[in-house]
Amino acid sequence: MSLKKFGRSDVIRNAMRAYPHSSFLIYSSSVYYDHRPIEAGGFNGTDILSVNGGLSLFEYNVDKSGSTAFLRSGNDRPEKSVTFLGTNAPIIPYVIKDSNRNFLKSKSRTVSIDSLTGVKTGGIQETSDDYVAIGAASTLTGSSYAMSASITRELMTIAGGITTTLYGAEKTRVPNHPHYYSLRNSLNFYSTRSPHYGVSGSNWNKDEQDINLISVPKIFYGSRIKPGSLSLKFYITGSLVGELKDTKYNGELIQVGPAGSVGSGSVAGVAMYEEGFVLLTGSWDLTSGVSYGFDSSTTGSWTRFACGANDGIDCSTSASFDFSFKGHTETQVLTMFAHARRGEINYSNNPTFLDYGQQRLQVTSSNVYMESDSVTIKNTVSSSYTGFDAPFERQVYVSRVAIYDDDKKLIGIATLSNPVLKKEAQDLSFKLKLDL
Amino acid sequence: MPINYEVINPNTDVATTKTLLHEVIPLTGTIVSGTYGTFPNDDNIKNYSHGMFQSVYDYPYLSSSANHIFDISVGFDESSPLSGSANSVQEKKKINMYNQFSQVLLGYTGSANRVRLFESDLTLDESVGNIMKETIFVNLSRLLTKDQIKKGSVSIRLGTGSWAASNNSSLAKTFTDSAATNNAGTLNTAGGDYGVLSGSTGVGGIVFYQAGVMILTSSIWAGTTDFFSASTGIRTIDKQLVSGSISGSADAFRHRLQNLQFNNTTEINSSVYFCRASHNKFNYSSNPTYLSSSAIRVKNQNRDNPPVSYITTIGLYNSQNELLAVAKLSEPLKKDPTNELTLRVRLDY
Repeated sequence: MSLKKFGRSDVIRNAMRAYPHSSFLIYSSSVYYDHRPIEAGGFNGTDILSVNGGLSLFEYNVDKSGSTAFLRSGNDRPEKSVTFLGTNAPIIPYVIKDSNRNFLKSKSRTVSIDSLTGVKTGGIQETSDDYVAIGAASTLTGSSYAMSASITRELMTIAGGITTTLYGAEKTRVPNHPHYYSLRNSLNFYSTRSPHYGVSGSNWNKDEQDINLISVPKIFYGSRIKPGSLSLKFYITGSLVGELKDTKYNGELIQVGPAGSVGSGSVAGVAMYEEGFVLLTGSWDLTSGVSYGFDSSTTGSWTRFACGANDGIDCSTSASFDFSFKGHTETQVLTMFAHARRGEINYSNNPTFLDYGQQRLQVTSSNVYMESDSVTIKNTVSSSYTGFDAPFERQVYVSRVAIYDDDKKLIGIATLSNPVLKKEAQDLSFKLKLDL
Repeated sequence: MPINYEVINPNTDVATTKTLLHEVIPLTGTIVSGTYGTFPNDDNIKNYSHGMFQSVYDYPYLSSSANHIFDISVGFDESSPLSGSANSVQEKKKINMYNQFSQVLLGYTGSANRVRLFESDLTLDESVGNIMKETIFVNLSRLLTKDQIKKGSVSIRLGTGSWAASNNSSLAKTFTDSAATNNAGTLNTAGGDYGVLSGSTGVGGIVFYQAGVMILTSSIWAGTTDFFSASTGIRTIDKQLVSGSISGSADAFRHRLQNLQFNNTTEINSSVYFCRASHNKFNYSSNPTYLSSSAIRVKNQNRDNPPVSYITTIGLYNSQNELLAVAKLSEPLKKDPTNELTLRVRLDY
C-alpha cells in the first residue's frame, strides 16, 4: 500500500466561533431551559433527569428511582455483593482499590466547623480517607451521575453584611454572603469597563445594597456571554413590566422597556460576561405597588427577578421571568485535503478487484515468494447493453480515507457516505474536517 | 510567570498507569415491558420496517433524553430442524441473522469455509449436545458496555412459567457467568472473549464481553407450552421461532425478561508527573500580595523568620517554557525551607 504525504497547503488549522443561544423561563418556582417541558417518568414521577430547567451532564440515569450500593463486609471483595433498592436502581461507577491511588470524588462533601476552635474538617479529604481506610481490592464508588447544571438565583440582603462569631477567645468575622465577597475584587476590576461595576460609586455602595445574583454555569455559554446579547424580561400575569438589555455592550443592564415604564433608561445591574454572573440591584417598583408575594418583598423589583429559580423559594404564580443570552464558543478545526490525482489511487486491495479464479502465487520456496505478473483486473465498467461488456478501464471506488502519522501508524479513518468512483484520468480531492 | 523552572526527568519523575473504571448496570425487567405504554406497543420499543431486530430504550424513544440500551433479535442456523418448516415467517432473515452473528463473533471453519455454530461450552468442537442452533440475540449498547463487560458480573433472570405467570420469580431461571474471570473461564474468538451463562438448571447461553452480545439458547423455554400468547394463538418457543415474526419473538422475550445486570469496564490511561519541591525551592511567591513595603508579609518584618509560601497551583511547561497545563490543589500547601514536597499530578486521557 502506498502512502501519500500532505503538502504544505493541505492541512489548515482554524477556529470555528459559535454563539449558542440559551433561554430560561422561570415560572412558579420551576425553570424551563429553552422552553423544554419537564418530563415526568414511569419511576421518577417529577423529573426523569432530576434537573430543574437545565442540562443533565451525563444524561445517563434516565427515570431512575432507588439506589445502588455495594455491601461491605471487612476486606472482602464487595463487587460480588451489589444491592439494588427501589423500583429502578441507578447506574453507579466504581473503581477497585489498587496501588494507583485512584478513587472517585463524591458529588457532595460534608464540611463541618468546630464551634469552639473554628477548625474546618471534612471536604475532599473525606473521600481520600475512604481510600486509606478500605482494604485492597475493595470497591470505591462515586456519585450516580446525577450531576446537572441550571441557573441559580440568590438574593443577598445587605450583600456586604458580616457576622462576628466568637470561637473560643478569638473573634471571627464571617461574611453573610461569601459569593458576593468572592466577586468584589472582580467587580472593582471591571469598573474601568463601566463605573456601575464598582463596589462603591457616586451614589451607591454595593456592600449595603440588596443584590440579586444570578449564576449561569459555564456549560451554557462557553468562554463568555456574548456582550449585547443579554435580555431579562419581567412579566406579571403575562404582561411585560420591565426588560433589561446590555445595549452598550459594556455590561450595564439598562431597562429598555416597555416604553414609559418605571425606571426606563436606568441601570438595574451589571453582567460579568466571563464569569457568567448577573448582579441586579435595581430596587424600583415594577408592579405599581401591587403585592404578588415575591419572597420577603411586597412588590416586584429587579432584586426579585428570577424568584424561584433554584433558590428554594416558593414564588408567586403571577410572575414569570425570561432570561436569555448568547454564549461564545471557539472550536479548533483541523481541515485536511487528501488529493487523489490522475494516475494515482487506482488499485484496490479488495479481493474482488481481481478476476475470480486466478492463481496469484507464482513461485514460493524457502527463499523465494513471487506473485504472478499476469493477474487480470476485473472490468467493473458499466455497460449500457445486454450481452456486451464495456471496454476495460482502470477504476476504483474510494470508500475510505485513512490518516497515518509520521511513523506510518493509523490514527484516523474518514468514511465516505457513498463510495466515489475514481477513474484513471480523474483528479479528486477529499476534504476532511476534524473538530478538536 | 514563574521565576525559575524545575526540570522533570522523564526517567524518574514520569510514570504511566492504567486504571479500570467500572459501572454497575442494573436493567430491571419493568423497563422493557409494561412501564411506558401497553405491552407489546411500549413507547420505548422501536420496531423497524425491515423487521430484523427490535430496539429497546430506557425511556420513550421520541424523547431526546432517551438512551438506546439494547437490541433483540432471533435466528436459527440453516441446519436447524426449524429450517424449511411449513408456514415459516421471515425464515431467510432469521438464518441470515444467525449467520451474521456467528460470522462476526466466531468466524469460519472447515474446508468449506462455513460459519461456526454457537456452542454452550468453551470448546467450539461442534459436539452435538452443546450446539445452539436456535438462539435469541441481545445486543447491548456500547453506551452501557463501554470498552467491555466485566467478566464474572453478568446475571440474567428469565421467566419460564406460563405466559400469564411470566413475572413469577419462583418459575424463573437465573443464569450468570460466575465461572468467568480475567484469567480463566473464557474462550478467545474472532469476536473477542466469551463466557458461558449457566445456572442451576443448566446452560442458558453465552456472553461476548468485548462485543457486548448475549446469545441465549431457545432450550431455556423447552418446557414452556405458551412461550408466546396472543390473539393469533399460543405457541411454544420452537413454533414461535418458525411462525412468528422476529419482532413478535422479541416481544415474547421482553415479556419474560425479569432482570439483567452486569458491570462494564472503561480503561483510563494516565500519565503521572511527580513534581518535587526540595527544601530550598518554591519558598517564594511572585504574587503581588506576597510583599508589603518590599518585605515578605509572612515573615512579620522579622528577618530571622524563614520565608514561607503556600502552593496552590502547579504549571507544566514544555521545553520552550510554554505553559501546557495547570493543576490546582484542593487546598494550599504550606512550603518553607524545613520541608520537601512531592506533588503527584495525574493527567487522564
